[in-house]
Amino acid sequence: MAGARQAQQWLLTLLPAFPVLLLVLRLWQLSHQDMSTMLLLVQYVSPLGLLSALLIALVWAFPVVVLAFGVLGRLLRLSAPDRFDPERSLLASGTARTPGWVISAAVALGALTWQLRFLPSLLMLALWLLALRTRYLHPDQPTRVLLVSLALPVAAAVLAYSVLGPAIWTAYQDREWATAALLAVPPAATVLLTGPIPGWIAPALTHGLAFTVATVLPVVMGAVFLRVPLLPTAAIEVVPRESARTSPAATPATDDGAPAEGSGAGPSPAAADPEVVLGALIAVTDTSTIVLDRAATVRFVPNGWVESQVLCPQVTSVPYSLVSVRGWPVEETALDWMMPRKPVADPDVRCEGRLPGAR
Amino acid sequence: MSQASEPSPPGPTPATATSSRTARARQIRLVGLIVALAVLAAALVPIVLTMGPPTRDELLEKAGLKGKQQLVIGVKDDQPGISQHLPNNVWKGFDVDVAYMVAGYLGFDHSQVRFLPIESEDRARRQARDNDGFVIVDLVIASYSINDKRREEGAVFSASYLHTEQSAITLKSFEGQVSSLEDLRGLTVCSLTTSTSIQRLGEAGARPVGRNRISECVQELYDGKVQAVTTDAAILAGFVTADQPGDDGQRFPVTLKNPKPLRHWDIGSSPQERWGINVGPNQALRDLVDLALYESAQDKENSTWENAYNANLRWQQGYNLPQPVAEQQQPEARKVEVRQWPWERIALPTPARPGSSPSPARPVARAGWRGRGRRSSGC
Repeated sequence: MAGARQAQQWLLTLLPAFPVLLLVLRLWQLSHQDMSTMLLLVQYVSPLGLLSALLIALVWAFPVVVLAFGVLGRLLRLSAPDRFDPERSLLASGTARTPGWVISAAVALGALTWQLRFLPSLLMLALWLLALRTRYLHPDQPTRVLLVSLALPVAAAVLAYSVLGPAIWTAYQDREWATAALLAVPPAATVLLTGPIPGWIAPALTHGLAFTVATVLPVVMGAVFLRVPLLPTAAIEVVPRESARTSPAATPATDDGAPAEGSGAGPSPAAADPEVVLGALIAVTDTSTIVLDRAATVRFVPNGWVESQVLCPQVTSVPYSLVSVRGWPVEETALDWMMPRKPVADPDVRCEGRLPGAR
Repeated sequence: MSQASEPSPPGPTPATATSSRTARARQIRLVGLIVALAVLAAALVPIVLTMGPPTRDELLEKAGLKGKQQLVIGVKDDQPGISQHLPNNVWKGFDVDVAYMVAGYLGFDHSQVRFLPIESEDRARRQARDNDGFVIVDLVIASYSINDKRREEGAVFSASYLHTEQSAITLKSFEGQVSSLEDLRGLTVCSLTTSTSIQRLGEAGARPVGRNRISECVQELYDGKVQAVTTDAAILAGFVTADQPGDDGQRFPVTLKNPKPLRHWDIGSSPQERWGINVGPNQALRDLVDLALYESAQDKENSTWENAYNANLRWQQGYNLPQPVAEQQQPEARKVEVRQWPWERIALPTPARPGSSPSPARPVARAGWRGRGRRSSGC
């Protein structure tokens, strides 16, 4: 029986479960494994918001999947044509059924959504695909093959090095080995690998690599998504007020049966002291502002007590690398780079959990 | 859908009779592929694991400064020019200015810094007197020399923020010459109990007297109970300067009884006294304090340290010759790697927080004090 078809059916069944699993894991992590907190999050966090966060955070994975499997499949087809059996191998089946426009779309999407430091790898994958495809489709046109598998990669490499050269040097000087390797290796590798590899090892190597990608990629996607902020980080200045505390309509306990400090907030700081609650803003209801503070404790702050609120910058987005290519930081995608950015403002003291100075 | 989406080659693929040249090319490609993939995979590991230095914000969180309303700093309260608690509840001196500088970097403006007087022997354990009890302060900036013995006692030092040396003072009426520690042989010499100076006194043959506060030593010198006082030059300079005016007429208030003119002696002490900040066991706090000192030392635009030096120490030099009060340049600080936005790296931030702008708002930091107070602009 067709093993590939069976595998494909299983894949299509399990694939939709993956994003759901990621979303649930993310909420579980956000609630620090507390079921009540997680249920509250599920109640308030919009599914559409979650899905868009997931999509935006992981859109880069689509080109990875298409291009990696596309290259491996075509490499297998060219190197060991007798072992390229779309009926038995999912890799072969996927390769044979992926139309060219999907590959082009994946390259275009990658160019927009991959960070600059990965763009040389994108160039490498795209040129490999082109060369492998040309060798397969037009083996009788040596000039064409030579043009696509040698002249084009060499030209691309020269161009890439002329653009990336200073950045590679900077990365080398700053001891950013990862950045240096990601910028320097792919253009050279493009020239090297535009044809078949020995037939005896091709099936094992391509399938091995495909399995590795299929195993590692979901883990990487999970790791990336677990760091994506789902809720806005906010600092809320709380000034407990007698009127709010005594007025039954504004008492937070009416909603949740919990005291004003929320579920298990521990000893409340002397109720009359103003404070700044720092954390993720879950929702603002008619009576209270619901905040998940840094210790993953949910706090229901009566709206009457909220003196002021401010959005705080997300820590996770500060770049690791100092390198930039002609003013384009290597950790920015083309989309980041093209779109307007919020002007930099001085950090607010409230974002450090401190009350603003003398008013 | 059931058919292959990619067209098939026009004819049968050429026979697999590859020449040895082709075979070699295939082998080279194989090796190249494996090497390139291995390198790229290795490069991806640190990126996926987000290995790298923390941000300033993460350090603040780890140091427990997020949500902290007040930074408590232990300082001396009886050392003119270094750190003095004035009767109007104002703290003034070089250590105080350095404290404000570090606090500003940590996000605390002047109103959020609380100074507590700390005794010499309490500096290692960061224990300061607060009204009726004792509290553990966040930082100790109290003319505290870095040395191994103190590290063993539990002090964790930042990088040094001032270099000075040991010196001695006597009454101006003293009729001898003091050009080395040995010249104090046979004299009763007072110093701080825990100071690094007192260890050297015994070796030199003087009769050391230990006191907890340097002002007590100076008072005993005025009263004739001791003939000399020795400790770090920067500390003694303030007592020698006493109420003599600075360029702009500022004077130290004299709180001791029966003050007499003093004389500062250069005893040719070679060991450098490197003053550091005791930051306690929290490594993140140490990193932040070092970062504050590093940025002050590196950033040409940031002249907070120079202003502090000019306002508190430089003008005293004339009254303390031939002893240098302290080295006029901020010592090199330890470089701490932090992740920053590119624009923050281009323009190193002065602590950009409302209410903490260091130089303009400071009454003690005088721009224009003998020039712009640039590093090494002095003698």
